[in-house]
Amino acid sequence: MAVNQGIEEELDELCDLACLYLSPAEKEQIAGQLNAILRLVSQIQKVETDGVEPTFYLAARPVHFRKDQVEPSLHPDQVFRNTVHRSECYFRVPRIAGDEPEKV
Amino acid sequence: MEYEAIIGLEIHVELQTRSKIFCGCSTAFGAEPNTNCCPGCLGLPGTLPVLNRRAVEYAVLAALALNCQVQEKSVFARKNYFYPDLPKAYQISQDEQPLAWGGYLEIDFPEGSRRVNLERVHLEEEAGKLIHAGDSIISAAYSLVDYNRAGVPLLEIVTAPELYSGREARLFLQELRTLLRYIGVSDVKMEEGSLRCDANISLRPVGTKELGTRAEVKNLNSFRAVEQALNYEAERQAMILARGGEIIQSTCHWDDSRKATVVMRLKEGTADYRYFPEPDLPPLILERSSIEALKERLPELPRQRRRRLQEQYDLTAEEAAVMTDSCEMADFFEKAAASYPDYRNLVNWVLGDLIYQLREAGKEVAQLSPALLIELLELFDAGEINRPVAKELLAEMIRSGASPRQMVRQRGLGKISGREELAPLVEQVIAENPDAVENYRKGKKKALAFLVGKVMALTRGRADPQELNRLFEEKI
Amino acid sequence: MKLFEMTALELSRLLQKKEVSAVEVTQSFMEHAEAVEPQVRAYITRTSETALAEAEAVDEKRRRGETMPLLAGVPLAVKDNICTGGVRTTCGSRFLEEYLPPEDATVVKKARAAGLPLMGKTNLDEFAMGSSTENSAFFPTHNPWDLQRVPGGSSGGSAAAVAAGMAPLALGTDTGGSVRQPAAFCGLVGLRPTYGRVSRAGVMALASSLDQAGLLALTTADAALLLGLIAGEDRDDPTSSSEPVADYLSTLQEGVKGLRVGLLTENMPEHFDREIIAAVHRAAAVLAENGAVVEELSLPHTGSSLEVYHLLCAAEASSNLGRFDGLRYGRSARGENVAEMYSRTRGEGFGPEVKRRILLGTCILRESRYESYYLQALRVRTLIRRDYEAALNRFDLLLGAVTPTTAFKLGEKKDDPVAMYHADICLLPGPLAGIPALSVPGGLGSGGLPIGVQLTAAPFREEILFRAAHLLEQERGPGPLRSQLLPPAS
Repeated sequence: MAVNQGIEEELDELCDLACLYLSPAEKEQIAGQLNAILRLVSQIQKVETDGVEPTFYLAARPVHFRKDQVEPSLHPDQVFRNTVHRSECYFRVPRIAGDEPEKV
Repeated sequence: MEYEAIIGLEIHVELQTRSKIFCGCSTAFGAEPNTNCCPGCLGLPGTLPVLNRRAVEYAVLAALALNCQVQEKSVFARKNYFYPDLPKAYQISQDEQPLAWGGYLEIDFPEGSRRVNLERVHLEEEAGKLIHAGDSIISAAYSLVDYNRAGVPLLEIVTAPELYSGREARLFLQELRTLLRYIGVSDVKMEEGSLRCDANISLRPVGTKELGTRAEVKNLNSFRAVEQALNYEAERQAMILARGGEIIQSTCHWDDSRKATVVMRLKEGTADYRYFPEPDLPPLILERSSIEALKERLPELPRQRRRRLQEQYDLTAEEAAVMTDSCEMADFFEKAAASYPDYRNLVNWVLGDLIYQLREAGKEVAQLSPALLIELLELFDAGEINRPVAKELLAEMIRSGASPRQMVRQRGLGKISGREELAPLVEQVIAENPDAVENYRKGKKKALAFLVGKVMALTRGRADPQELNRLFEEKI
Repeated sequence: MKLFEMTALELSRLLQKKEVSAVEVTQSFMEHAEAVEPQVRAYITRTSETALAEAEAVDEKRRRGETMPLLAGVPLAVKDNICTGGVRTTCGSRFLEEYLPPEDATVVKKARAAGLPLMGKTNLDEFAMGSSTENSAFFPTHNPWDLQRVPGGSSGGSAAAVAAGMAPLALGTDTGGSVRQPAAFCGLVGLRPTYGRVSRAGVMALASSLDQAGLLALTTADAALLLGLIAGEDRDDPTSSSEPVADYLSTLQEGVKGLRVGLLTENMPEHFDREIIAAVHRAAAVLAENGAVVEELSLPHTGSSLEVYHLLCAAEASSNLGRFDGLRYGRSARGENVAEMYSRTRGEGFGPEVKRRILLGTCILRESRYESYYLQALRVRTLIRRDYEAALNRFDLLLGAVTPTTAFKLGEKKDDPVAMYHADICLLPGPLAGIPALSVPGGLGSGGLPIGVQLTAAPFREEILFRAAHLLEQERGPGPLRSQLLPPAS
């Protein structure tokens, strides 16, 4: 896959990966815009960065820890407050079968 | 052509912390669904992960026990994919900079011992649990999600492809389970899912080096399943190759009721998880000194201890294995042995009645004082109680923690061996059982046992059987 | 002067002297809001009842003689991507139209504990993606200085609320300028603190390594007061800093004498409006007249900020927004299976800008592009950071523009995302380097629209920003700039 080619051919795959449905009209519009944005951001490849370490973190500190102690969890009313997918004490989803992604 | 199977394992172990890895929710198994959940482990917007110190300590202890090189700096990464059990649509895991590299586990295979190398050990978060309406995920019309498990700390251990049969894979896993339980970082129960294993298996012609196309085998829910599934898959692949066929890279599911692997889907390249360093968690920095301090905390590991116990106390390999099943059991034995020189007798009691009674009472060995067992054995050895009473006292002692000596005193359980006390009882039994007496006279040895049993019944087991034998022989 | 025309500091003094009650103050802002909100549309949700109850509680405590924090009783508007327990928090998205967070964000907890009545939740570009508040899924917000113009974004609602006299203070968030740019467009002081200075816990994430909660105020003194209240280490945010919090108000008057000021040149290319460049030079002159040493300065790699920012922001956002699948919360669509339910939920729930950024982020995190886009962007981020480190060794303060123009018209750039991105060019290097940055009014331009100038300093040196901004304010004249909807005191 060429790094800078047009996005059209890849768009379906990207939508799958991002779990994002686009109508055909949206796809056409977004493809054009994404190409423009990709052209813009591809400029970055011109910057000389040999031997430069990437900056992953700004925080100068290492991670801080929490003590291993149990704190109160949410009341079920709160757990299910914002969903319509409650089935008694569970969240309920439609059929999963199809493609199971590789799991932990 | 002859083929050999090449197997690598990817193992997930839940660490037994009290709270989850990135939030304060309880990790207790078996709670009502979705009650151990908070905004963090439900993936509500705005929440951030805060790392549990003990999860890191347990992971480091495990990595050290597995002889890994624990890294002073490791980095959490997001593994992005959509699945209903994954609340944030990414799992916080480790990718390019895991907690530990390398390591190995020495396994005593029947053919001899061998080092099985590890590739890496890293820390990540557990996903939630799915319950499928119907027999399987494939036929289910819907599924239910319980996020209680989401966020339980998980250790991933990846072995090198250095196992060569289903049995070897099982033995490796069993040794790993013993080790992790022994150092107290996990309860490692396959049936509760706190130990899980996926396997990669491929075949290659014996004597060659290159790895063949591999299959990934999932749903291995017991040690037996690991062994059976991998043997099955090796045979399946061998048959395909024998027919001149080609192995296709695939993921299979072990169907334990049909005892067969079922191909779930063919792999098209590798999934694209779009890993990148987790920006919400700065790097995990472990000072060399704190890694060393954790190393100090490691007990003598089970394999070493097994060997030492065998030599020091003259145990068989099997006995040593049971004795080192947990650190607490081995500690118990050694503490007891320190003040009780008849090791053989001690071993027999510990591995027999003691383990049995502990299980019956649902107690842990750590709850029992070795001094009490010694007290009991000394009473028995001194002839103050007989075996049935000793067993009864053992059970009582495990239940209540009461002193055997006191129980004997309070309840008058001491052995009755005085002739003066036993003689009248013997007379009585002879008088009441003329048939048995007659049979004994005719030479039937079994009749004697019957008569002794009658006296035992009268004394509720406290009579000295040897003394009884002598008395009956004299009287009849 | 009416209460709603006063600054937070003025209100605080009146409240402390018990010349007014918190209820009177709150009511004044509420009544003014009744009059102007229909034209401005700053709020997605107004919480008048909560605000009055909180004001009453403050008055009650004061009556009992309790010592109260300085800002107790001073109302606060909160951007709607900051969680408020039990008060709906939409993030400007249809997806979260009815979402009720179980808890307050840390910054809201702090504000509530200090007795600031919560006036409401302000409009923003959906998921804080935008520079005009036109990407709000609900409605655009209008600039109180000119209702035909945008208030800026994404914290446009917060800026408009303060500029129009509907709250004296507001919380916002700044990932790539979302506090500073609306502050400039609305004539306010807008601060993006150092990364880690203010907790992100409870702030709905856009890009975790760039997001920072910030604030908008009428004056520098107000901003200093509010920062003092919300800053500090938070056990719920692993990236928050343990650096001690200074008393920003006490150093405010110290001036700029002897400060070394770097005037950023790349920051003002030729296509920028001349009045913008003039305002920056005017500010430089004021600082120099007051004893600062001003020199021109170049940050060679900041020219790549736009690319670096959009790559990193999109990458992180694509991951951060994965959780919006409609299962546990939020609006959801029907689907035959999970994949369909999720993708339709997301397809219907997100607006165009959000979709663009999610797809861009997904695209550049793929194995095939990770190295050449994502990692490359992080390397250039290092170069930008080093530019700043070098510059901030030489200078105490950097001065530059905020935006190329004053507030643009509603609809002017809505359909050209790339043009919209380009307008953020001055706003992006600061967040990439993690340093604090502040926008302060530098006067009015043509059409009477406010112009902002930008000040940046070394990490955790917010007090220098406040000192310089305060001085610029003093030199401009007494009192804050006033929009037409918040008439000057007569």
